[in-house]
Amino acid sequence: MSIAAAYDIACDVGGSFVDVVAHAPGRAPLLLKRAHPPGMALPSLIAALLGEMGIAAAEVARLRLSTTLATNALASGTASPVALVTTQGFCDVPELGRQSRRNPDALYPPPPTPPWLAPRGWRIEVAGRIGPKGEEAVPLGTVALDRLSRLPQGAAVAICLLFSPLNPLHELAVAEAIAIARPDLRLSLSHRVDPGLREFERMLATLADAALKPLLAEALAGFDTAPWVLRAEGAVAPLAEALAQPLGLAMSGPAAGVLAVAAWAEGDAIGLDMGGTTTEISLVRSGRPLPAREIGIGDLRLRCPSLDIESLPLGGGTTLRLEGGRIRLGPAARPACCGGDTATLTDAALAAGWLPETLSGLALDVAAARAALHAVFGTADGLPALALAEASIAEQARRIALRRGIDPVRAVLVAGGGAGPLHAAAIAARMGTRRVLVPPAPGLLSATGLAMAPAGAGLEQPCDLPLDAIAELLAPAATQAAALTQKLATWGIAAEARHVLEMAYAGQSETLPIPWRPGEAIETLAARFDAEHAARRGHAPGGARRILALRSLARAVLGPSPGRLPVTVAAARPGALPRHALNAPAAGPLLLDGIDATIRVPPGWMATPRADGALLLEAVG
Amino acid sequence: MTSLQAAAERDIHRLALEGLADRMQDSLLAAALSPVAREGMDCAAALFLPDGRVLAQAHSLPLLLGGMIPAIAGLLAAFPAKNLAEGDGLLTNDPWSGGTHLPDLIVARPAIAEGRVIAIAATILHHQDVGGIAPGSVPPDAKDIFQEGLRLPPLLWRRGGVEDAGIATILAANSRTPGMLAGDLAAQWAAVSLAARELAAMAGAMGADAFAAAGQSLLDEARDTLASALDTLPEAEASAEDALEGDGRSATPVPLRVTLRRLPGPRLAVDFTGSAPQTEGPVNAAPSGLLAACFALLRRIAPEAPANHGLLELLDLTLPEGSVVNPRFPAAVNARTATVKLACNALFAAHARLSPVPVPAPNAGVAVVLSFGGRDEAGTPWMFTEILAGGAGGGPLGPGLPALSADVSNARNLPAEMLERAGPVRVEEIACRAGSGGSGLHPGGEGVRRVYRLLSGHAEISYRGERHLSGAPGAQGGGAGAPAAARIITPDGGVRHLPSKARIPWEAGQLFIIETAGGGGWGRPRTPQGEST
Repeated sequence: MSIAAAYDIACDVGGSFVDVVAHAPGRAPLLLKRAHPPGMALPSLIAALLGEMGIAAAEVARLRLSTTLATNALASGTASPVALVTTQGFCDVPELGRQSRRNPDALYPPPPTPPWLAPRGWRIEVAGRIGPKGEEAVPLGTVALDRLSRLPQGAAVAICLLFSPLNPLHELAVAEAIAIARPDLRLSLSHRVDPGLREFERMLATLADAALKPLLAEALAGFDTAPWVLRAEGAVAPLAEALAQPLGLAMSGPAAGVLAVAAWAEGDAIGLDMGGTTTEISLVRSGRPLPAREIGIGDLRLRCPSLDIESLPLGGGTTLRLEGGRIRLGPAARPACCGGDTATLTDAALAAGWLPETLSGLALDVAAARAALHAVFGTADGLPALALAEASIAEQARRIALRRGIDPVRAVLVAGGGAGPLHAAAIAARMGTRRVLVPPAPGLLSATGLAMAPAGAGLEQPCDLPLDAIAELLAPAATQAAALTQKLATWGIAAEARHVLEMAYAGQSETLPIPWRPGEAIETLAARFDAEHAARRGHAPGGARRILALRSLARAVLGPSPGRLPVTVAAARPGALPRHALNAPAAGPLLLDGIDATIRVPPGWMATPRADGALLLEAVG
Repeated sequence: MTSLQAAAERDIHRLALEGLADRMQDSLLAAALSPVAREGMDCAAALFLPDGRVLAQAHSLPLLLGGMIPAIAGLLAAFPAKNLAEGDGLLTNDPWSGGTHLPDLIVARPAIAEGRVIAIAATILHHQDVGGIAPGSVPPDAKDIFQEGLRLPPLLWRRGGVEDAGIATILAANSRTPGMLAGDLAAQWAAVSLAARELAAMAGAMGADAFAAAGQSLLDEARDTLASALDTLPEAEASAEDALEGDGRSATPVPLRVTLRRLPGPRLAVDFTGSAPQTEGPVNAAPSGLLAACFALLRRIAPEAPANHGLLELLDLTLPEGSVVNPRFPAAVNARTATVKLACNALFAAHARLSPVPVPAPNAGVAVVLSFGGRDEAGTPWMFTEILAGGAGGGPLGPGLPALSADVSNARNLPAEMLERAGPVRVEEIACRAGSGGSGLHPGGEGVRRVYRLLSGHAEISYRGERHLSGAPGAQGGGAGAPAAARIITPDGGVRHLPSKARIPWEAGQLFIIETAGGGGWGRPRTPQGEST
């Protein structure tokens, strides 16, 4: 009898597909991609997939999960409506927002808070004020608990009082009063969800956090072994911890993809993760993912520690139409070749002969694709539409990278997702990028990133100090570090915290993250901030430097590395080469089929297989 | 090439040009120093053809973008493109050469391929100070242009990339913040240089003639798209009126009137005849601002069209000479924004009356500028400035949003948690002002009500509002929004109502309450029985 394997399972649950990467010491890693059957509970779904891979429940040493559940629930408005407790005089803040428009051209700008998220009848104001220095300026009034009676069982409540990050006294007292009156309600306290100043941004983040609680508690229940879940900041945490603050689970899947991009990057990289409905652009500098302080989901901008990812509404399912003789790219739908009723980019790629007739176990119907294209364009030639979509992604990706000080000419484009490898070289050519790297299993980019994700957590507190007064942060930094070490110890993990200062020149509101080791000389920090400002914003104007927040992060490796992933195997078809059959550099035009994705090498590009299983595409000349 | 391929090529060329303009804008924002450009986004970038026709614009504030169009024409009239060489830089801020007001400096640089000018890259940026009688170069009581700052007629500012030392010396000598002026001009130059380089590469790759043809085809597309949209307007005319509450020196109302005529062709005539004569105070608007307002209207009529000069081919604009919308030299023009904003609103209101396709009702049409300053009990000075918006208009798709920056401005509000850290002020309320939106099937957006209490010491409030006397009109049978109001409440309950422009002392314990105007309502309101009245 053989010794049972100890598998580390990474499972990325997307809207259309579920991807699994399983690895164990002494065994070859296993990969699986399957369509996501609707309506099936997650624990049973994962058990079924593991069964298909031949992994017994007893062989699972660790389960990791990334999921689009939270993103989809916020994007589609299917998360729960939330009751809101605010400081007296501030219950309209969700409607008023920051008064500006994100898109000045929009004839109908979206409201700052989606109406479903915070019903106006579910608001409670409470008297009492914490002042701008964290002092109690006016004692807390009585909470109108009788107004809670209309809330359904298990409803979510967000509590957001002014200046709570400086002094949570009143928020804690309100939470306690509500917990006594209605122990069934799920509470999100703003100073815990988002300990930053500016009441609207904190309120919106707290509302979104609360809105996810009922849904995720149900969807992620029933696991025999509690999984580790990936949060937007790019580290996994135990399920219970993640559910206590589910806002971090928004962008869970894309964050996993960025970890894979960073692992494949040499120096600066731009990640292109193109799936069925969206394309995620991410950025890596010197091998590390760039951090961000907000996540974007549709029109929503939520303040939350995360990796820098921008999501473009373009993917294989992007629909095509003709308007006044012009090609227009519309919202995603199921491709005609997969049983949908409208032409999409995937149909155009299939009709062009770019895709095999079977992809990730799905049969693709070429005749249906051609018919759908003909219905829209009067011809089955979808190449102009494909060129337009590639140009659109290229222009946006180039702008995103340059804004962060990443030069597309020098960076490598790491392509993943089911559609990424098909378009990456053409997109790179349009943005001036000369190298594209396709990992061994590009269609499982998020799952592979998840497999190597560290465990970790972070803490943050706002401040407003001149750089000269940094000594005042020594004590809070030590406190935050100790709290994080202690927290990770309860997860069974030893980790030390490192610190990051959010800094800006006086008068600026947008901060830049600056690494800080307590005890460093002030001049060293000043120079580091000036250099970062020059790199990111093109100049360092000088002037008073201020610290606006102190962030502490603890990260630790979790489990063994997955090692070299196998290159997926696909059947031969005319006009294309199975990817594994390429064992020497070859010039485009060339199509290389993997089982999860097809790689397109356009004319003027050279493909070179590497020892680590990745494929390097380089512009020639 | 199939027609589909040609259409895709045109769109791809458009994406490349607009993407480049956007990256110029990013470069400008990243490198700019003055707070109004950085935080208020008061800068813009665009690309032009060698004859001065606009080719592509960044996705930034429409009215600033449109305002650059006549300035480029002014620069090229003085320095024709055929005489420009690599590295030349043009500069102006002259309202009588196509400029806006003196703080807005326009910088242009030719892009050269195959030995000829193939395009002009340009940026406009609101500088911190260009001299004049008041810091910031926007004196509210200026009587003529000479009080407003240094006027720069079209200048050949750089040759072969090198700044003219004489011009640099004059600029530095005439600004209260010469370092910032030089730094922001450098940011503008860096942005146009980026574009000139990339345009040259683009034209080099496709050939200068093909580049010109591709540009012309985008202009034709804009004109044709607008023509189809204008075809849906009836051959009729509609007018709208509004009035500024004073010119900055007196409280006498300054009326604005605009008439929109859909002419055969189709063409669109915009006529500001009937607007007030130019004023002594600085609310006069140079023609560039009104052209920008028209451009914004044309973009609203044909949102799918590329934002280029093709749109202007179908426009006849009449701005009576010597009026508040086309003042004669040497009128004061620094406070033009209020006029352009209101004119833009009136233009949209007239269009709403003409359009068979329902469009939103006008927004409140003002941006209130509110400055607080004082000394706390320890004698330490403090100050902050807020820009507050009124409600958006209701529209065919739904009600207007409350307190939303509209058209000309995109200013953000100041959170209570930021404001209370700036001085001894407590924000007691930030609320939608109930009932202030115009009535209608889809009501106008509400104004905002903000209540501030001075906790200690003495302070002064400087209040620059509009719309105290009249509300934003409704559309399609909707009602007008409520006018704005501001008042001081003393601890004994005394109320002092303020006019739309005021500088007043503020004592500890007093409340200052501001209520901004609501947006116009859209559509006839339903009766309680659910019937349209």
